Amino acid sequence: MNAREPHARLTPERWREVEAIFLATRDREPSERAIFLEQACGADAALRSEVESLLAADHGATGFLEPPRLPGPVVPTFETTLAVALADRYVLEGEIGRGGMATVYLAQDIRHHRQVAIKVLHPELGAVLGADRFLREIGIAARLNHPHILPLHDSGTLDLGLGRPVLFYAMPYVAGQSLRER
Amino acid sequence: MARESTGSVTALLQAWSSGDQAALDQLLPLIYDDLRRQARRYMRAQPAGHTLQTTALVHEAYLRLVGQSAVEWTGRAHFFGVAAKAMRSILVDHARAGNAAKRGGSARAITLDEGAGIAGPEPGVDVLALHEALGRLAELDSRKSQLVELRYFGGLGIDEAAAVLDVSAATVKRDWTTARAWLKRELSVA
Repeated sequence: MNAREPHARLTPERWREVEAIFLATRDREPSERAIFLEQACGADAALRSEVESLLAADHGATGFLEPPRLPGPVVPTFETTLAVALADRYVLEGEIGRGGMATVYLAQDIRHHRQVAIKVLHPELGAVLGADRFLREIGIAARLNHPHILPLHDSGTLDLGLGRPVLFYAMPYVAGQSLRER
Repeated sequence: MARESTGSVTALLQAWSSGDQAALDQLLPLIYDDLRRQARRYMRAQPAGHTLQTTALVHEAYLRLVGQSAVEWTGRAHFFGVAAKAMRSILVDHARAGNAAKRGGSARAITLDEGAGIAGPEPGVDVLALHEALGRLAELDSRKSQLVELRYFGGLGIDEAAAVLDVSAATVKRDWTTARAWLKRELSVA
């Protein structure tokens, strides 16, 4: 890095001069650049060398540091939409499991300051099963209290704009233990 | 938490857009916390040596914190401006922690995704080297340094960056060309 130290010590005035000549040279046809530089820098060899090294770097710099272009309005992922829909109750922290019927997310329960596992039924499945039946069944589960059945904290349907409700329920999160092991 | 911040981020952006500079001081930690949480989530879910799509993260943060609420276009641009700053600081912290871990034995390199559609393979940019080079650029030309921060860490387009920096799109394009060449030179020496 020390080799480049002189470049960093340019005064603002000098830098403006370097930039103006750099951009003006860049706008010219390659065949005209040498003559243009000659005229613009005159006897100032340091100025010329500074501009030339910028031009050389510019040559391979197309696309360098360019942010990925996001096409039009951003289309949120399912997970983002879900996180937004749950945001008044839970902070979604990440996916912890995925099965044929549902995906399980780890989340922070805002009101009760505890970690929960939120099981979200795959949207297609929710449509087949029907919201009523699903909610009735987890309603039954909520009344059970048994060592092999996880207690239920919360459940409901979410409108994620998919044209059908997305069903979820929240259970206590037990770290280091898979839900199946319980 | 998310419940309160959804409304307040929008309100703070509106306040800031109408000239309340103090709103920025309250906005930064809200956006910073959200982004850090998300970035951590992504880093945990990904194998070592992955690329992190910072632009996608910042856009997700916007959707979560502001969503569909009515925020002026300049307010939106300002959100990304703040998020870019936060993203830069998160990545630098992470890279430093990674370097420390590397010295301790377990390597975990993070490079940034530079996006699709780039001609020719570009090796991943070293976040710390870029951060330091941006610091030197800031001494020379602070607007250009800020522009690179906005675009590279926040994913802003030319017009959005122009709105944040309060200059014309033509100026942003010229600044970008010069800053890019300058950084390319700095980073190829490093």
